[in-house]
Amino acid sequence: MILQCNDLVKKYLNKTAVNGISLDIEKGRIYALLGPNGSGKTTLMKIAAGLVKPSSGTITYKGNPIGVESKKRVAYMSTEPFFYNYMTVQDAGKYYQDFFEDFDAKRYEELIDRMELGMKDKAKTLSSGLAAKLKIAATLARKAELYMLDEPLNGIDIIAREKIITTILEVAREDATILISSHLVDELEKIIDNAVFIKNGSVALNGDAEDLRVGRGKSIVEIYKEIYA
Amino acid sequence: MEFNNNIPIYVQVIHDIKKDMVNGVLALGEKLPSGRELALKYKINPNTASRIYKEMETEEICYTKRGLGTYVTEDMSKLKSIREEMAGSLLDNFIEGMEQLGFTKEELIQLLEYKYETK
Amino acid sequence: MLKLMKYEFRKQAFSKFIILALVGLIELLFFFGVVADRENVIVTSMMFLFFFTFGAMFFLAFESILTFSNDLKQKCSYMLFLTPNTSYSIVGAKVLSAGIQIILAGIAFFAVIAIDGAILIAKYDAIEQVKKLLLEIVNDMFNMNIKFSDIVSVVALMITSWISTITIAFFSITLSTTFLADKKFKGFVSFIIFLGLNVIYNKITSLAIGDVSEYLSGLDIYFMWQSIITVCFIIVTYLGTAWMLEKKVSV
Repeated sequence: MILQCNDLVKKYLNKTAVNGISLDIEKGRIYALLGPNGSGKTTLMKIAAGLVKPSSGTITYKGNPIGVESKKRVAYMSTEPFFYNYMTVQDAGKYYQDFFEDFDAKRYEELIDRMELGMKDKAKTLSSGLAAKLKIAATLARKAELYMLDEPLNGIDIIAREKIITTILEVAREDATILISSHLVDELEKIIDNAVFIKNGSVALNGDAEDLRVGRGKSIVEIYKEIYA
Repeated sequence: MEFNNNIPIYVQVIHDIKKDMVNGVLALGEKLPSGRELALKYKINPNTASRIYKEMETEEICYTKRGLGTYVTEDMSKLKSIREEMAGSLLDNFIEGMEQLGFTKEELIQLLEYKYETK
Repeated sequence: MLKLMKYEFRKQAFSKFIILALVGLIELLFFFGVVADRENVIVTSMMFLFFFTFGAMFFLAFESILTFSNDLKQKCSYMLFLTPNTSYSIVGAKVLSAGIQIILAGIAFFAVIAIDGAILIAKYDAIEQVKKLLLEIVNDMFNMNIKFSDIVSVVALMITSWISTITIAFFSITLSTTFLADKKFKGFVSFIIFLGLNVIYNKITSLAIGDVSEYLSGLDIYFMWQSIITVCFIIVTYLGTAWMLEKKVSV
């Protein structure tokens, strides 16, 4: 059990983002966190990443609370770009190298190349698509235990999406776990082990993707449409 | 490869691999890609990829040499039976489809001959 | 923590170049005045220098505080808070880098002013006499000799109170973020809390060590005590800020 949530709740002044989520994430599998914008997927990931503190409930990483130790092994990629304005692509890599022991600089160079970025490009001048690719390159160049990718395919053109899926598959190892949140369900359908459907801040459905498909005789996309229609 | 959403992914990939074996793209005894390479090639989940090889091993279509990898069977008769099996299911589907259109066996055969002549 | 400090410096590097460039310009003006023997140019440039020194010190404090506020507010904060560092390291790095910057800036400005002063004295003998006269006046007025410990205690107080301004500001911003997150008037509330804390600081100081007028014969002792109280404030607000960030605040 790499990540365990028990009745996790996050309330803000005017809304409840996470409303009692209990979830067990197992090592070595690829999970899709599915649901429309605002369903709570992002907040859930941010809580696991240590950026948001829950209102109540518990969440543990390998049995321990979220903190410095979990941050060493968890690679979170948010939907928004987050690099400092003054940084170049190379600076971003150095930053990651400075703070994350599991960062592989060579791999970073490879991925930057694959994403067709330049080391000297300034983060603030990158178009949204390139900025998204930079985030992915930095995050996936780490050899983390848990990857949490929030909408990794957003803003990426169709051809590049294939590259990103390939890159995600390349980091999928027996000792690595991947959480991908997306509303682009069909792109992910083939690569996932489990599908977790989040609706209004709680888990609507959670299961092995193949079992769900065969059991209901529907694709994940169709199940998605049923749940959120 | 385009996937059909109604059939399990592993089934579709196995079908694709069988096809490659039958038409010679994959030779008897040839080394198959590793589980990870298979996952990357078809852009599927790595666990699905290992499952694929497990299934194929159960059907004795391939075998694993410890530490070396997974290889296509060297059994020619196995290959023949795969070919027949795949042909059989294509034919079954074809015949059923044509029957639904009202074709008799004789009309079918005539149509087939015509099609081959004009190919 | 060193790496964190490195990036704090990088974030604030650009303004240092600007300050350096501006000081360079002022110095150019000064040298022109000295070489061309234009008294009003010299006086003007020295005035600029004094005012600019004060302005720069305020700006440095402001920049550290602004950087902190942005780090809580903008998405770039993810870069900081996703790293495997405790909030204590993160805030500590900010305070230390701010402290180092102000000390270095203080030394640099002091050096520039001293060098300029020395040039003036070397060039214009009349000033040497003015200086001697000034010192005599000051000594007579306060009926004391300015001891080394006086200077040390004043400098200590200046540095500690400058740092405490920053940590109190950090604390205020964090406190209001804990309850108000991203609300529009959060900045206003932060400022109110900041003022309130400063009032408390003054109250505690006067309760603990009395008023400055009681110490006319030993001002250095007063300043030393006040520095110590200030250091306590720094520690308390630093710990409070880090604790809130660790346990309560979501970025």
